[in-house]
Amino acid sequence: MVTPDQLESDWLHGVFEVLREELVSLAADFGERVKHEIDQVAAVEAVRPPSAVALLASVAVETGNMAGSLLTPAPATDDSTDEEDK
Amino acid sequence: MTTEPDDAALVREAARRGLAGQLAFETLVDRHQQWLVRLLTHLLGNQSDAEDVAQDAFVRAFLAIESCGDGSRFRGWLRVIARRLAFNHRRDARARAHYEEQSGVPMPHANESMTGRLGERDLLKQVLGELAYPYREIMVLRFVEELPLKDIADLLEIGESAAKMRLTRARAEFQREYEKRGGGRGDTRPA
Repeated sequence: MVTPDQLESDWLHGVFEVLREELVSLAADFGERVKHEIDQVAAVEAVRPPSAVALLASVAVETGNMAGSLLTPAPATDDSTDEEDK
Repeated sequence: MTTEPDDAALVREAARRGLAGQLAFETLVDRHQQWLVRLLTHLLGNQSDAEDVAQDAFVRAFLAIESCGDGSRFRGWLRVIARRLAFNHRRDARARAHYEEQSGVPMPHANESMTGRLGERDLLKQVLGELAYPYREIMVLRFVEELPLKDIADLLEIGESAAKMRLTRARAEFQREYEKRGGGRGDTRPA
């Protein structure tokens, strides 16, 4: 059996149908604005992986190490012998 | 043919972070922006504010995506965030309006209408917009979002019987005003 309460709700569901079916005409740049904001936040909050910055940093460290090893004179053979002896 | 990943898959990917995660989240933005702005427009009364709050809601959701849990319920989770932000936004706007009223600054009446059919729809929006906020909110959740009472109670963080009582009062208030202004049951009901 249908209650008066249910009838009221059915009526209101009918009335509100126009709002349920309504398509909001979003500002043309809405989606882009949101994505831009997310991009900014991702960079600032470091929720992006170590990606570009970390990659560059690790490359810099490696390059530094390589340059260092090329410029540093070879260690004395005595030392290396001692190390090996140990 | 490729199938679109569902919300659960996108949320999982987004939670893994990285560029791929960001792109997954952006797909969620594309998918959910329409209903979210519509909901907020009905709650806040104008689309410009609704878009601002929706943007904020998406950003907060992005930052907290790990806490979304079951990704298939992303929509409900986003709705909770948006509802809180709308409440705060409205509170701040009221404080601003009060200040402007006190200082004699004229306030523009923000009430943009959305595209589409006029008349009945405008009356509906007008009556809805003039309801006390808790009534407007529960009417929108019940009759636009079509949430069951249990979900509404959870969202509003009140008991189910309190939600039912609020809805009954809101409905009565809405109906009284709607009919007073010429909105009726028979001829105004959409075919």
